[in-house]
Amino acid sequence: MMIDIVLVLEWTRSSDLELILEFMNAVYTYASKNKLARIGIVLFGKEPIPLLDLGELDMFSDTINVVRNIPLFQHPAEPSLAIIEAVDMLEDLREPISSRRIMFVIASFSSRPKIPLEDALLYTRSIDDLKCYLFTTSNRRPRWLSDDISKEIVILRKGTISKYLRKII
Amino acid sequence: MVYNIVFLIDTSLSMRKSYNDLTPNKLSAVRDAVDYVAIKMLKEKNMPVKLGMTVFFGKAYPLLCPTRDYALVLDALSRLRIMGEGSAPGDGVIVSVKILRRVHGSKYVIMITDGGFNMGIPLDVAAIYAKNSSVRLVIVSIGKIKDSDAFLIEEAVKTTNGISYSVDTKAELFSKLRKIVEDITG
Repeated sequence: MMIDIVLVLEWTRSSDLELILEFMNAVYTYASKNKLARIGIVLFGKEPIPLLDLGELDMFSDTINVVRNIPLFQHPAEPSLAIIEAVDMLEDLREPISSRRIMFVIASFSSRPKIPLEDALLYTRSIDDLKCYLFTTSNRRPRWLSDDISKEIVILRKGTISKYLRKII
Repeated sequence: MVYNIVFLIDTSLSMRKSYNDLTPNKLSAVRDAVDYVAIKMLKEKNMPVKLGMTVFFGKAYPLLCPTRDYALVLDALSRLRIMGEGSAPGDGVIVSVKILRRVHGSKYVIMITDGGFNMGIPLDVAAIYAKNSSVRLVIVSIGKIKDSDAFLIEEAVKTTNGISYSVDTKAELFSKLRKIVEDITG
């Protein structure tokens, strides 16, 4: 079955960049077991920046090395805008055949964004077949979010990435 | 093979000024030059091209998805106006690449600007997205621009395997645009 994956990655001084890069490599490893997988990337700081439209895994693999050298973006991070950008990418490039669609959001959630995260998550729920997973590279979940959403956020640690991806992909 | 070309036009405040014989202002001269090559490609030579248009100042937005309809191109050109302060060329590149997402054939963005980049997504980062989407950037700069802008322009065209030109007169602007589209369409 076709699978479309978009990574929505905070690229600011609040991010644990090494952890994000490790996550990207792990996604590549798991996704490459499916010949029909496509991966896209949206980076974000204050603004969302699409870096790679949904496409072949080779392109994703090449882009991991490029991401490493991109300077950090401005604060405060706006994850909601990046999530909306990623939804647009998934919808614009949707193929007629049925597919699983996954969005991984990795953010620090260090400050309350201007656009409420709840609104962006509602938008993702309105899209057919799309499942959105939230991860943070911080040590604790944000206090400014409602408990319902906050408890869904997975605190990302080095040794646990494979465990989650194996379950999801 | 269809050649999809998006003209990304700087509509920031500085384009309101004249420069050498680019009168009454730079934006008007750009409008005339794009019209000149659009007529050549779509009407006189009937080349297999589709033309689109986007604009940027402190923000960026699309005006025209790639089309072969000269009337629509003319309409978009007539909509060009000075939009305000700031210059965010990276945002312009992102918007341009996005309107080429669903398009088949070769893809080019021709940016025409007088520099003064000071806002939005860095041009060199936006160029990575263009490269990943197989879009080549061609950048035409008008007049003397800051070294930092020139550096970003060179990085962006290098990333996308594109090319940059600098023009100082109306004749240069017309001839360079003509050369660019001739090079693109072979």
